[in-house]
Amino acid sequence: MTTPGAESAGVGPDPTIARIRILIEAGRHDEARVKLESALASDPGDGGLWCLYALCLCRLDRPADALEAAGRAAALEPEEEWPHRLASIALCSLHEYPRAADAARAAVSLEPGLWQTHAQLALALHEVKDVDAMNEAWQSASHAVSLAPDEAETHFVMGVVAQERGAVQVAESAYRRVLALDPAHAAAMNNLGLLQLKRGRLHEAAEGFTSSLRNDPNLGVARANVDAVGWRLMTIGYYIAFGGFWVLRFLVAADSPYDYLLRAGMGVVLLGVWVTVGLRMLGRLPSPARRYLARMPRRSVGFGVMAGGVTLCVLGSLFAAFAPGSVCVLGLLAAGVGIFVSFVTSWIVTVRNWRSRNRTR
Amino acid sequence: MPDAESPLIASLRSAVAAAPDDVPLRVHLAELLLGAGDTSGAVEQAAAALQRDPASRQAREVMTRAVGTAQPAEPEPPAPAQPSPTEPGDQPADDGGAFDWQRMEDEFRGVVPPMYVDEEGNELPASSAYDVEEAGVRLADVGGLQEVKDRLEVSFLAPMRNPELRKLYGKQLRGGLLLYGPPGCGKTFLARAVAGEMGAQFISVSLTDVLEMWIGSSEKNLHELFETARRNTPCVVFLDELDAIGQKRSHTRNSGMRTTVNQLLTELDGVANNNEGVFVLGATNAPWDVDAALRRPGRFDRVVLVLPPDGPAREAIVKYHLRGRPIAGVDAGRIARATDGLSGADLAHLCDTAAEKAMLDAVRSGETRMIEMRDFEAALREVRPSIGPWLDVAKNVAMFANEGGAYNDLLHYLKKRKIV
Repeated sequence: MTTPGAESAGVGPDPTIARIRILIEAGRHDEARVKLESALASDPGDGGLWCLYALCLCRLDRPADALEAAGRAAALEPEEEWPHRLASIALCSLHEYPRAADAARAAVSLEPGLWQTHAQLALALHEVKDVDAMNEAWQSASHAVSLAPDEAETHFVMGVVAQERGAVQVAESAYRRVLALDPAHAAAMNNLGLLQLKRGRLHEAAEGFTSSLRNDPNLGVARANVDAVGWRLMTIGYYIAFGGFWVLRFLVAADSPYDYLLRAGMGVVLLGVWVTVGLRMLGRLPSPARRYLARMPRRSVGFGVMAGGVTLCVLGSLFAAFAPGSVCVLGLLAAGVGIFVSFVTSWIVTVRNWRSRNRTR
Repeated sequence: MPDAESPLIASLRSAVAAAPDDVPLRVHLAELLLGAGDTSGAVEQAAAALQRDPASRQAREVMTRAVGTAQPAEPEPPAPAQPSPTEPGDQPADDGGAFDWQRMEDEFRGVVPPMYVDEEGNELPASSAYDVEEAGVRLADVGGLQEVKDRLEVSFLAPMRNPELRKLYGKQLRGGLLLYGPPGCGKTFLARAVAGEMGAQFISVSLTDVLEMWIGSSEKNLHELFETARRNTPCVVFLDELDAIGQKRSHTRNSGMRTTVNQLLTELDGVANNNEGVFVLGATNAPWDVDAALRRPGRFDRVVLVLPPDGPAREAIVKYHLRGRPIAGVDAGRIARATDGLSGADLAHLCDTAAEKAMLDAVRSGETRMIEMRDFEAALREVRPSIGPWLDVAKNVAMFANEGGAYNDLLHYLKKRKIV
């Protein structure tokens, strides 16, 4: 999550601070940290420096140290809002959301006219996962938007809160507003893609994720989301293969006098479905996503096995559809093995993902 | 004269152990040892001094005297050195008078084990490449990286070296080249080599310069820098860490950096000024973070990917970093084969780690010893490639941001390494 307006501290145009700011802006947080430590050693009473230090440590993924630095800054400059806001950001990284919300509330009380304080409060509250907190988050996000309607970040926070609340339309319009104000906002593109993924619009979702990666290749989560599109496509393929297999199995078992005709007809239907789905689904994906997904079986063993299972099922079903009656059972057998392998793999992958998600929480 | 066990010699030995690269100290110790009758000790110290500074006249003199002293111990007087007409490399050095270097090496061979060995443990000749410190380096000094050198030659150097062809095709003597790749893979060194190859002056600017000297006056300083380059043509202006100096303006809230980028664009275009003879080289780990305007034609329009060093380059880098260190039985070729994917900086770290292991062993045992292959084997288990995070981002770029094939080289490399 970005930290909207975190840089807007009340520090003067000191050359040391100017250098540190440039380093932070250039993403050279380690170098900035070294300079800050040296500056703080000679002037430990400068609250602005402690704030920059806290910001730097947040970016270096050291939230506990950042929290301590923000605390020092707050003690030195109790009338400033920035230390509280930085403490809130650090606490969010530590998953201590109620405390993060309290710190953000302290920032709001000191600077009620600053959109950043309301935006941070909204971000902290929406993680509390509580109805009252969610309502307060919504109000804070709305207030931030009203304070700075031309600032992309306020709309982005509104989008995040709305998405969490399930207000998909509001979230979508907020993200579109972000992109109108800042066309290169990678996080908004990614989140817009997630909304489309939930709606089942796979090609639009993939477009969002690939655009996001094009604008910010550092956004690893967007690549994971392209993988999610791949899994969704695989699931669709699995259901089609499964359906075709069961219909053919029924036809073979029925032992009708028109057995071959019925099977061949089903085979033609299956072929038609695969061609249509292939053209519609894969053909409309953005070409980078298509190329990326084409290599997915090599990157993910689970995906590769499942793809192999579905392919075996489809080929077996087609064989069962067009082969003479005496050998069509072999095709059904192969298709059955394929669907079974896919089913087991999908369960293993689902359970593994579920466990990994729980561990992360 | 003190004897070989005198306190003076003992204290000098400790001083040499503390400062092994101090050649005069070693020569002094060798002289004292020679005076005390410890010929083999004197040879050992003189040899170590010569290993560090082969041009040291004093070390050679002590060695000559030491070997001369040892001569009576030989069962037969050695045959006088005969220069071979077919092997000029084997001729004795003039400044050594009639000194027989071959015989000295034969004697020395018994004292210190060979520096480099092959797989069977046979001695290999030591060679040096990749000398970063030397001024006026050329592409030939860059170990390996043949593909990059070829690309530099074709896309940049050949047109510059052929003025007639350039005139014929209306090619101006100006331009920009962007070197990009993982950190620690020699982009800066290559830039220096390109300047050396062109016989041009070299002006280097990095983010540190911008931060330390230019704050508040970057426009003026940047203009003066290009003016200096224009006065000293042909001149290469090298902008290191271009992603920081010329970062996307949409990412900069700081007006100071915005004006730096704007001024850089003005200077590169040279609308009011003549940039004939000014070549701008840039180096960056993240070309995707460089402002798009900087990559338009006429600016940094040629891009070369500098990858982690290949096998020969890794061997040369390892040898370079072992230069001046006490090594014995090190198979640099084997180390090179075992370090695929490591950057030049990783290899430097590997050599440091191996040296640390030997030093730690010496501290524990109380006896100094050479850096050996076992130290490298232990270091190899510890040192991991540092370019992983870069590859992760590069993968995203190659797969999703390769518009117009700008990163085809990168994609090709990632495919070759089965990363995508």
